[in-house]
Amino acid sequence: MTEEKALVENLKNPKRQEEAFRALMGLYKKRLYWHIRKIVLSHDDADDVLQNTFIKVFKNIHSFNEDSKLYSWMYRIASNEAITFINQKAKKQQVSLSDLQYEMAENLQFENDFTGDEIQLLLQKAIVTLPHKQQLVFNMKYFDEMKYTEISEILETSVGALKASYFHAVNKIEEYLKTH
Amino acid sequence: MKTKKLHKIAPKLSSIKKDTGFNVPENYFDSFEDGVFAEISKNKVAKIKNTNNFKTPDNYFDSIEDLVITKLKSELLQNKNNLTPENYFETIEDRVLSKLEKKQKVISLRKNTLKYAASFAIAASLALVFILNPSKNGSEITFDSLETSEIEQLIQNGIIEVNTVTLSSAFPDFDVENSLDNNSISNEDLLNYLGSENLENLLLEN
Repeated sequence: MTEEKALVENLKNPKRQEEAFRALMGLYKKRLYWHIRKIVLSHDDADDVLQNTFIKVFKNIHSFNEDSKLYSWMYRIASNEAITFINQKAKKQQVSLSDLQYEMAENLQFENDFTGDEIQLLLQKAIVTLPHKQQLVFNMKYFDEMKYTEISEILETSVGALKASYFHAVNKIEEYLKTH
Repeated sequence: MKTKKLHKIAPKLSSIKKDTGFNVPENYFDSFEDGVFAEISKNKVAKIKNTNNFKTPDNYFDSIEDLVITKLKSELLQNKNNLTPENYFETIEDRVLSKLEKKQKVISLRKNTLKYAASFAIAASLALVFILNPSKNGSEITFDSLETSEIEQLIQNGIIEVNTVTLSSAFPDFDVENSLDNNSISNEDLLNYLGSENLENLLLEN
């Protein structure tokens, strides 16, 4: 039995659940945190979303389809949670999602949790101008250096479409960097 | 996309240090699991607190529909202004349909003019026919005894001929020639009349 299968089995076993869940969080907390952080930008928001993601994983582990990979399933939950979070934030503030994201990127320079230089700030501003899916693909490919096959499993999109998406994203970002 | 390829298509982007620039508070990841467990147990407590400790009177849910309907009826009675006439909804379709039929009977001014001229001609011709050809069986044929459709049929079949001669014979005091003469309508009246109708429709009709 693979390590992942054993983990899932333990997660479904009430006696071993807590221990297994702690191990699961230990394995994935950093990867998921950075994935979420690149979407919501602020640490506090990323912390909220990461906690919600793990709580959702914990509550729904019984409905997890063991044919797919556990980490892909969790990434999917994390992506959905992060996107839902910023959508709700935009709704609460009664602004469009693109306006909210641009404002969030603008405010990064005043945050203690962002230590990037001017060009890194400009890159973040460029990323938020991309459509949602392209943002995800760009972050996963460029920063996380994930394989297209991995991204394909998480986003449930074909490798060809992902390659095209990444290519468009890179071109748009390059154009933004040149003109700003 | 390899670094070399990226440099080729996006030189600016490839020159940036591959770092998001984001930081996390010190020891954040060390205590993360405890935070999640605390959140889960908080939810469990909240679930326990949310359990229903309230009770309803005996058989409350068995009679709730009747209670609501009774209340609704009494409210409707109180608010008489909002009540509709008796059988309003039972007859609404018939009333709407009869209104629609009435509306469909609207005929254009031009058709009305022709109709009246034709009616006048028919009436005059009939008077002439009655005078010149008394009934063979002796029974009096009156105008009222004939249906309009029958008269129209007689004209269409050529039994009754409508022209200025027959009309003049029937009504010597009435100047039929001038009354039906197009020249008696002034240009101004004609333009007003044409302006009230869609000229194109009129042309198509004819």
